[in-house]
Amino acid sequence: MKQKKYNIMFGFIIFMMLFHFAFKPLNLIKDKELAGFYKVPEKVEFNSENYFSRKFQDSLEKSINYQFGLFPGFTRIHHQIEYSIFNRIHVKDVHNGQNGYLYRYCEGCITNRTFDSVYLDMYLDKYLIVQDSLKAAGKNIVWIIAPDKNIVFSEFLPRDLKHGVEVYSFYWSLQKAFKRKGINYIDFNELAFREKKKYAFEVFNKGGVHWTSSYAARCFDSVCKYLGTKTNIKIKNVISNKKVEHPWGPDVDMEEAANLLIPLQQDRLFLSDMTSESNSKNRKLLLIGDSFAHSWTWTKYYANCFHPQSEFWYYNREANTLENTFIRNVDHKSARLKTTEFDTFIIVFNAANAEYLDYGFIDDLHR
Amino acid sequence: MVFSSTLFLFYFLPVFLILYYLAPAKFKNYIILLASIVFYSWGGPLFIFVILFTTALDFILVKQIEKSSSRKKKKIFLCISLFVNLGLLFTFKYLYFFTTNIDSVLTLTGVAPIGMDKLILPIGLSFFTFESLTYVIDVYRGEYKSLKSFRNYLTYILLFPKLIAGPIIPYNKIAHQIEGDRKTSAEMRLSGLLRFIFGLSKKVLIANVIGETVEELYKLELSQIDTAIAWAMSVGYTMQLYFDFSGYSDMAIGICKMIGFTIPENFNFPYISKSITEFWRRWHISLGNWMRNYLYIPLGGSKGSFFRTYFNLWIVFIISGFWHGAGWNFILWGAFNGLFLMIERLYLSKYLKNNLAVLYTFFVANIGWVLFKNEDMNVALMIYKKMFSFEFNSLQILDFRFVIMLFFAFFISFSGLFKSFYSATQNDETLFVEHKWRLNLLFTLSIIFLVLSSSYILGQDFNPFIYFRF
Repeated sequence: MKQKKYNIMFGFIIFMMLFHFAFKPLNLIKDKELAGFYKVPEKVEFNSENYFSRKFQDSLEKSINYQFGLFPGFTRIHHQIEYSIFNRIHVKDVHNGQNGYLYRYCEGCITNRTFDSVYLDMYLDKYLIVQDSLKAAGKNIVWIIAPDKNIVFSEFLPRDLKHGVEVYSFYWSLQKAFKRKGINYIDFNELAFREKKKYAFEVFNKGGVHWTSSYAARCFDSVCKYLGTKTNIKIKNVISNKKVEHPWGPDVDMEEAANLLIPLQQDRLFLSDMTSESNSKNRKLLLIGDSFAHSWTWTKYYANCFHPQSEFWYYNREANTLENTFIRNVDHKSARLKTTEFDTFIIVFNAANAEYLDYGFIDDLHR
Repeated sequence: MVFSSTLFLFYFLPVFLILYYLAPAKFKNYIILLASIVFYSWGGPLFIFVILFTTALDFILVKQIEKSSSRKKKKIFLCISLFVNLGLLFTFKYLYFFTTNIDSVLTLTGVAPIGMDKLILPIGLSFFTFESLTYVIDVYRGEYKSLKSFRNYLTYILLFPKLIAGPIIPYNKIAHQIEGDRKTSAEMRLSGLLRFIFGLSKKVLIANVIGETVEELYKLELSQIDTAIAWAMSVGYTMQLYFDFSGYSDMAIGICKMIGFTIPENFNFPYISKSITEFWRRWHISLGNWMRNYLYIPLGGSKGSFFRTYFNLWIVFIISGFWHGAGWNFILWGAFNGLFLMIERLYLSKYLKNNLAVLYTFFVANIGWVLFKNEDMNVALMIYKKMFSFEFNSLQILDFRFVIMLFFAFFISFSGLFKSFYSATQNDETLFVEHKWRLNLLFTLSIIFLVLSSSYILGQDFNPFIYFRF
């Protein structure tokens, strides 16, 4: 009887060690694949040269982990233990803050580096020439500083990253320079500070890098209103801010990449609904920006607020429609001519990439 | 292929065990031999031919030793075997060290250096060389008869659980088991598997986790670290080394048990020792035994004069240090331990009676491991300087995970101080007969540890085996 018990115990553990075959290669059980980027090492061809030089063995041992049936499951267990017990997150460049908040781009945002003041002044003088020329032609340009999680939710930053406001050096010096030079800009960090507890939805999700869809919509609405008053041209059918209880596509990219077993407990997930109509009388927008501006285009809703031929130049590199369809690569040499087609310009950046200014757009116009 | 790899844990080991248990009794040794050849040639595909050659040569030479009637002939065959085995060890492990040292002297005197490229050390060379020597010497001494079958001798040398990092099994402890006199029972299989999983956990969950932080700390600018960090580095490494090596030994002993072999223990709570002398009876026991039986006693042991005895002791420790690696730090580490052994023997031992002596031993061992870890003597000296400078100004905050695992490591290392725990770990049989709940508890824990260890093997890249390079 005892022997039988010991044999069952032994057999059970051996069975556990072979259980991965049910996942791969037998495919009897399906597991959710891991999110994020995993570069599976290439397997070297089996031949005598590779075998005796150990290249084959090394490559097989490295690649076998990724093809192993229980790789996703065990990786999630590891990541969850590390996160829950040891407060460690296994995503490159992501910092684990307090209260479940994750942070990224901290190094670009919280830094003691800053602009060369002479260079910045020269650059903004060039910008002012563009701003004044557009104004004279009845066109409009505005800089948007998207909110940065490192600033708006600085209270939850990891202890070793908590500092005073002066450490957001690029953002801070650029904002001061805008004021000094009289440049039109909207700072959604300031707005977010004022409004972060005003709405039922969050400015940022705990596990996301970017603003939530709801807050992005709230800010877009604000931009449209601003453009309407500045140009005396009504932008028709501006977004209506209806909130739905069940969000579509919440921004939790860091959390997804963290591959945890149990998702982070998000506080308030909402998505703004919107109705608008695109027609040729609407303003023809050229939107230049980063992934925060991307949040305005990937939902496709905002396209209807502007002329159908409006464009989004992602990092001033790829020209897309406002519905996020790729059109062409940006031709920097002909950018000046091309921009005459548009009558409204929005440049979007945030504190983490403030040092790149407008991604070279103004320089293109001065070629 | 290390034991704590996906390939070994989830493919090689279960497949080997299934084949082994399914095979008829007369083919079981063939399965072991085949698995051992596959295992070794996976990591050293060229060196397998070297090991096969020396093993065949030793087998023939030992037969000749046994056959020869004259003492002189026996001695000649013994010398050939020693020359081949130690020559191989010298060439692969020490030739580069001696050449670079000679080159340094030649450069100083203005003579052109010899120059040589570093050779790749065949894995486990130090271990199987010592095992081969036990076979040759035991038969030469007439203490044991030679193995009849070459296959069995090859199985003894290549037995994969202990092949690359020990324990060093003297021929006389295992010969009869290889020849078929080994008991296999359900208890033995299960206790072997549990032992393997606990060893795996020690290695993956404690040694690797601590080691990862230790390596990160070693990447800091050493001039910038303070006393707390220097101690964290040294104590961290002290624990990493113990859990790494003892974990590996547990896995080796566990696998052997699963296939019916009983092999000697390699560790017995070394950090609860009350002297360095005792420490060396509890740390890497199989090496200590080898050194005593095949070096210290042949040198004359303690039977000679006062000075001769102390000379023998010291030389054994220096050679033991040098066995670990071809570097001055290993020689110094051996000499350092030998020195404390002599001091204890001379007058310190009478003071080392109470539990405070455990602190003394841990302190001395820890100081020694700094030498062991750092081949660059400047680094070792810098760490010593920082450890005793009593400056606490670093902004470096120790990783919470490191602190927790270090706490666990201390708890387990010193748990042998509790008599009930100590006695429970000394005999696996008590697992099955004394307390039913103990087996159920260990079985449940082993499943949890297997899942946790597997997740750590797959979830992080840091997975070195320190003793593999010896």
